Amino acid sequence: MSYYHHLIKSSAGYGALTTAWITATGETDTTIISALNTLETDLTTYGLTSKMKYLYPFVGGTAVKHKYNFMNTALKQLTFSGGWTHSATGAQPNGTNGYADTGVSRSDFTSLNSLSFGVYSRTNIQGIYGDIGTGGGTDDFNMYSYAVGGNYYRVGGADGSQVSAGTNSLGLFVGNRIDATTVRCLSNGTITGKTVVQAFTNTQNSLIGTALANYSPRQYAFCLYADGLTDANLNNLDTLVQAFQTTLSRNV
Amino acid sequence: MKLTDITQAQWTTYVGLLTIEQKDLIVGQQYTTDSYFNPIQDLNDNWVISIEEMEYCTNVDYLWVKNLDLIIYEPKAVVNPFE
Repeated sequence: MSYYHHLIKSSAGYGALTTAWITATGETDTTIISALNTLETDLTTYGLTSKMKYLYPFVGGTAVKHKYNFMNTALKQLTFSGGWTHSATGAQPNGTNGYADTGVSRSDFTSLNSLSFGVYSRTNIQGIYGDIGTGGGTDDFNMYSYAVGGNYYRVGGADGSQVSAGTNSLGLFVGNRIDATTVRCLSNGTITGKTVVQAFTNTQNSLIGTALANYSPRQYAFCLYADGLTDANLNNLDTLVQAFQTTLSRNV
Repeated sequence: MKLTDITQAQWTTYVGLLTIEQKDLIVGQQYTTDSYFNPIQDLNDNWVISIEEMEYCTNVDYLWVKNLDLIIYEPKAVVNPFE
């Protein structure tokens, strides 16, 4: 039996996204494949599949595998630049010059005023570290978890800034704008929000591991971009991401 | 000081020092599969790359980065976007 025939046979029973992932990455680790398949099922169960645009599960331990977007392996593959360390527990920029260009901008979402972006961090360190987002401008979107003073989210510039209390940089953090006036952000299980009024017109590409050259040293085990998420969506996302990490024995 | 003189725990302390010509050679090039060099300037405007880029370089055209002199990394001031 050829390698490819073996792959097709072993992929039987997996969801379409998981099967495509196996084809793109050549992944053979059954723990990883099972975790991805459960992730795919959970996204469907919680009604998140159509909202989830780009998802980077950072499994496989190499840049070659970490670059892929689980929702469509042919789209928005990451370009890693500078110093990164890739391992089974995730992708870690060095805090000096490491970042990944996603190619994702606001025009890649269903609505220009409805988007979310997030990371699952496995490193607890306080500081001004850009986890994810665009690099500047008056209406940028980005996130600095556990900065001095709390978790900072900008989802449409200064007016769209949301600050929540922060005690560590571990777990899932999501910046989220539901519509033209509503920001709701998730900080490791806690949702906070505000009403905003500033127009949101940013067109920059979003990066992972930096924003405004504030390079992050945190290890990421999951990154995502989705349309705007309801509070129920955020809570369900937190649940399924934590389950995914637990299956892979890398939950924090 | 060279790459072989430091431990992994010291990777964040040091960077590899580039000439402008060396910087121009590696910009936009892969140091290993799907990973690109990203030279930056330090506080004194020296062009530098990280120890990871040197250590993990497998591109035969750029293995010379493993022999770069190391200097202590002095970053430019952090921009606080919330002030």
